[in-house]
Amino acid sequence: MPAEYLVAEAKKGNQRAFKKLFEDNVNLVYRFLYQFGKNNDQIKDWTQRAFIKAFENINYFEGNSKFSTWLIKIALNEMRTDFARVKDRVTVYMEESGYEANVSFEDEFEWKQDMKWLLSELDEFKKTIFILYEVENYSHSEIADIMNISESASRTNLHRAKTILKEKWNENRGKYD
Amino acid sequence: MIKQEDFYSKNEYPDFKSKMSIWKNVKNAIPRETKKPVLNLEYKSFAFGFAAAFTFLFVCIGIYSVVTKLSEKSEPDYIRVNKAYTRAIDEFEQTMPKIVTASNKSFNLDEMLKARNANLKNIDAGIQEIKMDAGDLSPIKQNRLRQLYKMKLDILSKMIDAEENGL
Repeated sequence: MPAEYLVAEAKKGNQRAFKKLFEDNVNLVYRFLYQFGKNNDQIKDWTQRAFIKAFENINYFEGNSKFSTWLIKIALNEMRTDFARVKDRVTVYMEESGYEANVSFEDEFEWKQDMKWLLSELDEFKKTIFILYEVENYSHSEIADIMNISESASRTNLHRAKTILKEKWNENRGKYD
Repeated sequence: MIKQEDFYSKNEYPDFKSKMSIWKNVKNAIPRETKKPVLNLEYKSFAFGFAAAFTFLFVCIGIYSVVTKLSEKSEPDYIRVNKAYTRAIDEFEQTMPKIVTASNKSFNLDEMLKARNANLKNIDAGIQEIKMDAGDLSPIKQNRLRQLYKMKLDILSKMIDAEENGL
């Protein structure tokens, strides 16, 4: 069933339609939040808060973006609320230099699951942009909408994230050769 | 782009139990859906259905009339003439009960009516005999049938005149 129909039904208060939206998107939201959470309980909590917030505000969803994009935005905000509350948030340096180098990730190395540790080198901000772009295939325009930043900031910080990962990768290259 | 299967491991996805648990908490937190009573009329649907049914009925009546008219037009002339006579006779006969059952009719009128009714019975018998012939009527029989119709109409007309004149 198309998401537009389900959203329209959910706006009327149709719980069954919203449950279908939940089933279609819970994997996406959970796995994304997993990259930032400390434990399963925290991730579950963020996930359910995201869906509750989505239902409460569904009448504000105008359909200008995909429902999943809007949902990720809500999930990100819920996560950031907790980070701000416990003052655990890493100070984010949002780079807006506008410089874009053509960093080809695929030419450098083949991503393997045990390379996740590389992401620990990134702050939350760059890590979010990196995952949304490289893994979840969102465009810079969509990322800008999700994170309330400019497209330019999205591009710049992605480039910076790749540069950092490349540097770290090269430092540890011997382990994977 | 990194493939999702290369980036995410299985334990980074919620298992069935986790999904159910999350959904249960979400469901409890969101307003319950108010169920409409089964017998609650959907007025709009009802009105549209009614209008559609009426429209369909009138369309059927219209189609029936058109088909009937077309089939009548395609009938041979003698059948159409016979039908016209029959309709005229039916109309006259509908006025007869008033005369026949009138309690204040005179003796003369009463006698006249009895005689006329006897005539009518004979004419009806003749009409039925011709009609019972299967297949097309020959020109002679068609003529005979028309004569019988005219005689019957004539008698009925006289009976009505007699009642009007207060016989």
